Amino acid sequence: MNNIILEKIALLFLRGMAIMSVFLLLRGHNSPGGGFIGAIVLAIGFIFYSMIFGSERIERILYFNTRIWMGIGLGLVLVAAVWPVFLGLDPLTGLWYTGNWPLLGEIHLGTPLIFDTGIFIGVAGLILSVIITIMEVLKWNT
Amino acid sequence: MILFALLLIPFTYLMLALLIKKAGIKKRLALVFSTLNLLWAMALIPIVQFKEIIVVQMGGWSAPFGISLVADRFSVLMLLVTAFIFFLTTVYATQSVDKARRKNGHFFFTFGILMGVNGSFMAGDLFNLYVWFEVMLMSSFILVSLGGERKQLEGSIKYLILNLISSLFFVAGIGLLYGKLGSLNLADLSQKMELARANLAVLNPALILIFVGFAIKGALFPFFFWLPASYHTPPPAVTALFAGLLTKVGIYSLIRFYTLFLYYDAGFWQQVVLWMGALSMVIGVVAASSQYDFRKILSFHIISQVGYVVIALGFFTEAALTAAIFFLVHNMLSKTNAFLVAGWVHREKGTLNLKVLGDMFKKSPVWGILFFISAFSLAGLPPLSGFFGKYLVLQSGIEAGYTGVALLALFVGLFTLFSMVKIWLEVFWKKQPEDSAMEWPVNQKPAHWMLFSSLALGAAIVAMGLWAAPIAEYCEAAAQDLLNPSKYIEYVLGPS
Amino acid sequence: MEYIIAIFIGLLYSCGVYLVLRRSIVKVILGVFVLSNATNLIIFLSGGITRGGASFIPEGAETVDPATISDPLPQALILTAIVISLGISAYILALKYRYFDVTGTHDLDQLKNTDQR
Repeated sequence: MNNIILEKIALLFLRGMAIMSVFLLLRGHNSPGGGFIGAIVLAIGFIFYSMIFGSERIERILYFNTRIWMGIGLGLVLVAAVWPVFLGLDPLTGLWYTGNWPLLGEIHLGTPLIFDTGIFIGVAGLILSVIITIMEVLKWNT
Repeated sequence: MILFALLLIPFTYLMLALLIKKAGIKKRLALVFSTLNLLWAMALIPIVQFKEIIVVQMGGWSAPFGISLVADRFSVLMLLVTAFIFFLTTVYATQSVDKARRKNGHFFFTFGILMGVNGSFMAGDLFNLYVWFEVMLMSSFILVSLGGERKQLEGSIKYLILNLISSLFFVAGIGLLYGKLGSLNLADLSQKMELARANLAVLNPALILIFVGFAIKGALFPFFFWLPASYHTPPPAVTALFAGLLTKVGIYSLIRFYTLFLYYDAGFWQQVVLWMGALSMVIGVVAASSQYDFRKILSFHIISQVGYVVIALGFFTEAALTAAIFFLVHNMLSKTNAFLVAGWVHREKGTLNLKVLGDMFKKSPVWGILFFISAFSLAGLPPLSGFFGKYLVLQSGIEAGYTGVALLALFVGLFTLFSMVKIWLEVFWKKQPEDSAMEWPVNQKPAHWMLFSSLALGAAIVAMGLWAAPIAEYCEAAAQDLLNPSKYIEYVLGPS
Repeated sequence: MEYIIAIFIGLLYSCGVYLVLRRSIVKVILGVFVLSNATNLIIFLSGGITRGGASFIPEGAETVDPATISDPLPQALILTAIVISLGISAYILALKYRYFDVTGTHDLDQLKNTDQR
């Protein structure tokens, strides 16, 4: 069955959720938000999308296997944890950079962002792998 | 960073194992990383001798506010033994665990266990202890059920539900304790309890909940039922790892908790700990003597052996804590080795039922001797490590005036000997019953890596018996630190 | 407010214990979930409840009256506990599915093969 309205809405919903999740991710640290919440929101979009299009479509969008995404997430966490050690600080210390960029104005970046991005990718990968596995086992792909 | 690396090594392996697809490379990486972990843990021993207590504050946040990793002599010894056992079980698993399980992440989850265990030995606050427990438990849940045989699934459901409930007890206790004292850092809490000495009764619900949580994890007397119901179901390499590490983490936390908090109310807790220790000692050994499965007997003996450590904790003198630490190390080594031998028997015969087995000594005297070493070390025969462990426990008990419990421990030792002799006679010595010879494909591949890890553990047990004095000396220094919580507090919070 | 939540926690615990003692595995699993939520609420309650105060220091403020903000630590702890229970739920449901596949039963009384006699 091809229902064009449903398909368009699912696509729109996924995009909206993706934007929302990135917004939550970037807003984290000093305001409510963060990697985990962002990933959950993203996963909601994907669940809705996959209910309509099936799990192969998610796999196509993701490009890599979810396992690899989880690995990349853990890798980013590792980078954020170890980076300060090379500067002689305790592990996981937040390093901050503040600078003025043309067009963007003042930018305030730090290793917690890397850490949170790692969490974001890792958790999103985990939830998606759970969803894909469940859908394959229960044969929801028809 | 020195301590942090012990978390980083398993973490890096987990990351790489996710990124790499080939099972062969993952296996080699597992060997490399477990060796690395072992080397690092060895390097910690001289450092801790020099620094006494190593403290790392994560993220540079000072102690009661941030997360701190703390390792004193006791933790470092535990970390070293863990690394040793983990390395050897990894080597063992390369041959003993079947390919399907290896492909589905056997090593991945064992490294999860390593990370959880390392973390809980170093955790400086209660909530992190809980988190590391969960890391360890999650991996162990999956390892118990990996493979999905019917028996395994049944065992894992019991294991899962009871351990989840123990975590709930633990977290509820943490919540109540935080509500009362407003801190989670172990050192800070201990200091605050010193101040709140007058009305400790308010804290008792929280302390009891946490105690029950640890007791379920450590498989003490009224809470041990999950252990014998699940430990004999997964592959032998997994059981060996669990037997060596998991319950011991519960006992480690109990010792840490007792020496930092519970001793303020010693009149009550000493009785509780002594009774629970003595009862688990007796019940474990009596239940074991009625079993006819190799691994079930050993599982029940885990409960009984844990009882020895707990009664030594209950005596609560310097000598007794020395004995507890020594016994804990001895027990981790001997128990793991006994399970490794069980794994070999399983590989050769496909069953662990004592009634069916026989003639194994003729088949391979080396494995027979290895079992002999670990079993009679568990039973406490003289030149081996178990003798000194039991001797220290008994001596400290009699010195502390608990002659009855000490005599009970001696009596339990006799029963242990009985069970071990039973396994020895049934599996290794007697002729295999004719009618029970069953079809099992003879394994053509030699088990040399399995033999290597068992030999190394056997050598460690013998060495621990021969060089008991220096090890006991180290344990004594560790016990002194444990009995002096103000030192721990000073190192973690900084001089006041 | 504390009293209401305390009573609610008690209710959740009794529901959870009731479910855990049932014979069907599905109910036992649900019971564990209910119990873990009750435990999370205990942590939440332990930090004290402040009406209307988020646990964030507003931008630009140097000091904040501690009575007006709620304690952030228990909330962080609950988040951690929830993340852990997310993982455990995923695993436990998968295990349940597999168990049903292999044995075809939900009944805990059928689970005696590994018990001691």
